[in-house]
Amino acid sequence: MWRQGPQSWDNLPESKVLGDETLQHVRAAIDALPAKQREVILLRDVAGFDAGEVSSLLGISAANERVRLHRARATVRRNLEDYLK
Amino acid sequence: MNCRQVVELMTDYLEGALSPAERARFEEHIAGCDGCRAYLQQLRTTRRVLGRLADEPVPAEVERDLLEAFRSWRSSR
Repeated sequence: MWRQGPQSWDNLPESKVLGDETLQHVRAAIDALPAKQREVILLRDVAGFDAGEVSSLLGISAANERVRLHRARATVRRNLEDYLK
Repeated sequence: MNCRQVVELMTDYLEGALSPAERARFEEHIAGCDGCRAYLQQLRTTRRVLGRLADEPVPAEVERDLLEAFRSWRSSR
């Protein structure tokens, strides 16, 4: 499947990966997400609620919560990939 | 399990939502696939970066979404 496999980020300096500019890019990527995905990724990955707390807070099933989370994380990952390469 | 299927299951894997059998097949694939292993590692790093955003001020639009979600949650109790 991988025509060109993802590059490892493990050799990048932490100051780059977690730097202010990177955080700004990620925040812009989150802002651009559909609202339903944005809520889930903010609650789960930014605010750090448990998956079960997020699904009950939003009134959605655990499976639906993971679908939204998956799409949101995939988009943010792609955005980071473009930025970090 | 092919790469496409593995990528689709990555969140379920990271969230601990796979059955033991699926998890074993997932890990078997990952062990032999550099591309999927790199992708999984990128997702872990993505989560780490996202966790750092908690220290930052929340954008107004996002705050509004969250408040709205919270209100609809409360009104459904």
